[in-house]
Amino acid sequence: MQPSILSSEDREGIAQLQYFAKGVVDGLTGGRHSSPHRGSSVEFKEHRGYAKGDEIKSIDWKLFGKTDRLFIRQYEDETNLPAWLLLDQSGSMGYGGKDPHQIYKHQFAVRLAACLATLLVRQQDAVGLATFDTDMRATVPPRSQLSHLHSLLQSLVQSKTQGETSLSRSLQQAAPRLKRRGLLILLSDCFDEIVPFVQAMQYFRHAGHQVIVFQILHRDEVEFPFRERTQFRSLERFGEHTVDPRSIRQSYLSKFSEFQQELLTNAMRLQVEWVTCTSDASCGQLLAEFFNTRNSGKRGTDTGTLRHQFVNHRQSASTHARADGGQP
Amino acid sequence: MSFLNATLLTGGLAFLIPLCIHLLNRTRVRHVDWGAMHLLQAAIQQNHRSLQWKSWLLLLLRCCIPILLALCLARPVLTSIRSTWAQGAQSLLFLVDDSLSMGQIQAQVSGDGISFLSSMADQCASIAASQPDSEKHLWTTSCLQDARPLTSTKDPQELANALDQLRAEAGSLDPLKHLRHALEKLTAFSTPGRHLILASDFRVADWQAISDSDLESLRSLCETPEGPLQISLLSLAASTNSSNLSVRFSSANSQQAAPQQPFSLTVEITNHGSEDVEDVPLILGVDGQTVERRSVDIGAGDSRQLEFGYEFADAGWHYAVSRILEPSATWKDALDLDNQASLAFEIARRPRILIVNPDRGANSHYLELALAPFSSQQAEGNRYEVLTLAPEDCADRIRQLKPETVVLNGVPRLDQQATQELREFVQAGGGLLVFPSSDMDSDWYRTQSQSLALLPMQYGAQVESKIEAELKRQFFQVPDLQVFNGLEAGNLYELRFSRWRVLSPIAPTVDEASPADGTSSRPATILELTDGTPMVVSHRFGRGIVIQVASSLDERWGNLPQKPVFVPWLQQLLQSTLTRPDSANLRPDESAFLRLIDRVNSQRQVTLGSPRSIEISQLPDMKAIASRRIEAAERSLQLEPLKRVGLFRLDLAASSSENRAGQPLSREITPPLLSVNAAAKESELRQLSPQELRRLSNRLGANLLQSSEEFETMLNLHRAGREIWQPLIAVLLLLLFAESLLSRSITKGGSAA
Repeated sequence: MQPSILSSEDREGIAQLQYFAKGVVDGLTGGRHSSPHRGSSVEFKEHRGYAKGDEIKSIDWKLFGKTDRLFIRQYEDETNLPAWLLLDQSGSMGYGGKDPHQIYKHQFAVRLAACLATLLVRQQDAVGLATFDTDMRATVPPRSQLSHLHSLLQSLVQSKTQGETSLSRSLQQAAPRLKRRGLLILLSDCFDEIVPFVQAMQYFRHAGHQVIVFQILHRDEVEFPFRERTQFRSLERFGEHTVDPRSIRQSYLSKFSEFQQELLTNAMRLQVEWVTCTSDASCGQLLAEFFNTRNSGKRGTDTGTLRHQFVNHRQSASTHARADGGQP
Repeated sequence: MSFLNATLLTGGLAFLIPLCIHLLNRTRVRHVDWGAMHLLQAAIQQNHRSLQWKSWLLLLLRCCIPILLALCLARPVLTSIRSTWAQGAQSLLFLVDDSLSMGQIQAQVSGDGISFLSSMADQCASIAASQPDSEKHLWTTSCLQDARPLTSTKDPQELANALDQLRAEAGSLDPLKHLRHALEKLTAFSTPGRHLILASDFRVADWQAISDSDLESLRSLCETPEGPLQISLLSLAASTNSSNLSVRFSSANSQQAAPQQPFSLTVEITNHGSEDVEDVPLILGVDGQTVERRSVDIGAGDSRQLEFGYEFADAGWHYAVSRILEPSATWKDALDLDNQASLAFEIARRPRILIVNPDRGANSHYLELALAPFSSQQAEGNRYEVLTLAPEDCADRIRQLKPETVVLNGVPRLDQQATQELREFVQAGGGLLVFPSSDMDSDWYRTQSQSLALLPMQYGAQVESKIEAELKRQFFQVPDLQVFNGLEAGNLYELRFSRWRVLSPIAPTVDEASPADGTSSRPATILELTDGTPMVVSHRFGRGIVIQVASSLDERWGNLPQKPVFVPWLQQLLQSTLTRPDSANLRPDESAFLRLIDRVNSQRQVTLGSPRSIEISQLPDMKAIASRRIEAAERSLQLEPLKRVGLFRLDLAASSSENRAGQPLSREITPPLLSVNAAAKESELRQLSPQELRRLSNRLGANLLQSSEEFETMLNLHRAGREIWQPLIAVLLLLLFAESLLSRSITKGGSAA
């Protein structure tokens, strides 16, 4: 029995999605993801000449009888996708705004992770989960069984926001666990120092992993709509400040824009797929938009192409933004 | 400071409203647990300081606004500028500039030009009407010397009528003199408030010579024990038409003119405007007849001289009039009163020289020979008519022969009657040339120089030099001696002097009253020896010129009469005495100095005891404008200034009883014509700029008025004080604007950079 952290709307949206991996990843089990590895499988692909060292059992003896030459049968191997969901549960993810109907960023990240996990497991891809703040906290190793989904969702339910954010250290700690090339999906607000974070992403890219970052923000963080005198208390470590929000709004938005611009620039350089969304967006629509956009590109060759989306909650749909933009 | 609605001041407590709002806002803080703290902190650090002082400034502005609004509503009045003199009765002394330049067109109303004087008169009448209870006294700059004002009344209408009678024909405004006189008159008034209102066109030509120290001295006159005198300068906007042409006679040497000889008149026409004018028609009339008409082009700010030749048939007094005809469409003239100039002059016989010599024939021989070299048969060829007489005949002969110059050649002394006659003769414009001698009466000469100031210097001790002295070489500035700057007229420096009398300047004495009847100028040295000893000095006494020589014509004193240069030298010296100021051509504020001369050859001479008068008529229509009563014994007299421009004829008239008796006139008057022309500077119409006018009024401590209403405003200001709600409203608006700007600036969060 799955925990009820997925809304019916999310499940319905997820059910409509088909996820097609873009890159060629190593996998063990068949699926819809093509693999460069040849091995034992049910679907024949081609013959090739025998070479010294090939296994005897792979020789096509029938063809030897016809041609009197030794050929090796090769089969197309379908793999599952080893994917890691990295969920940020630092204090900054605990922001939910003043509207009681809005959900917290962390809550949204958990829902999104659940959607992704469900989608991937249904495709028989191996999905792992790691939650982190300053360090790695809970870890669920990747499995592709449906029963594994329960463990994933359970781990998601148990995730609570706390502490500061250290994206770089958490990614470094996650690196040894991703032994094979696979998919790394980061769900975070990315409120951390940019340089170490970028270096960590760079490591994963060099290791051949696909990296998708869902940057989850709150609408207040994007628009800074406060008007009354406000005491801002840090959800992490920076103390508190009492200010007239109107007096610093422009300056804040400018800093926010610079921050986003720097993140996106680095993401583009590292060919990291980047999706910026706000917590009031619909998970289903967000993912639908994301995958539609992803599939519209050239298959197999655009795995590194930056996909940047920014979901506008007022339109209840995700909207494409310019890859070099990032402005709401 | 006081308030007209003091209770509304309590509204100032409204400043508590923004203060309370501010404090409430500070206490009512919303708490937000924030994630993107690193971005927020960066934004705060960037604007922290500017936001802090801006917010305090904004609070201050918001507190000031209700306070200022309450102040405005309470209508504050500055009472510190109330003056005690303004609380009581007021006396207004209107000093109207009636100089010629006030006739310039100030504005055009219905096509007719309104002169400055008319506009000023209207403004003065308006001021008078606004102060019905005040005493009003009207003076013009031309009548300021008179004992009584033109009018003195409380009735504004009477003053307005007097103002309507004013004519802009008088002499120039002398700001220092006229203001001083007016302030002296104002001091005599007894009312608490005493105002001098100077209505003038404030031209640069009148005021440029006035220094700051002069203005300070005038300002000090305003401080009297009875209270301060108030000066108001009533000025009108400058005329839109500043173009002006003027004409005047620049030269006419009547002394050298003789009947049947060419006589030249030079007319100078000046364009005072900023644009060139073409085809300006100019006519010249002589004795009422037009003799020539010319057209002339003149550049902006330029002058042209036109020479007219004329030959008079008869000796006697004549007059010439030069006039610019009506302006054409191509040029306009703001002041037409200076478009006509007149000149009165005498076509005279040869100059008559009286040589007074103690022993006829001795030293006078050189003089006679030098001045009249031709014998009696050829006397017409002589330049001068020379008569030699003894000192005892001097008094009668001067009176009878009417000479142009008297030469005292080594005269020891003159008797009292001759001395008096000689002084009057020089004062009336005669020339005097004095040579010393060894036996001269030092006391008499000292009296003439020191007490009576007739002679420019005092004759001192006689000096005998073994080495003959020479004249110091110099470049002559005196026009009549400029011929000796070259050698054509002779070499002055070949003259040698072995004897001379020391000419020493007259020490100033306590009794300076002696030259009261004749103004004497400072002595000027014409010739001096190489060691600086004055040899020939001159000065002006009254209207005449006196030349004093240190050496005699005796050959024992030097080689003066033996050298060829003696003749031109003596003639030029005499010429210097002849080119005296013209007594017939005057300025409006100048007094005419007249001489009454008995008719020597009259067969029907009457006693001089009969009362007579001089009647003054304006040419050409002979309209009588004034008369001057004279006593029978008077031989010279001074007319009051005519205060108007024009050409005037003077006639001696007997009393009505004598006229009926048909008694003949036994005296004649010189000059019989008077020409009164405005000073050249009256044609310079450029006025002081508003800045210069403001500076002038500040230096003078005066109020600057542009209209009659401003006078009433000024007086009310000193009576009641000044309401200052208007400037406060301006400040309030400024604060509101600043608050809006600052608020917007804070809301925007300063620069987003």
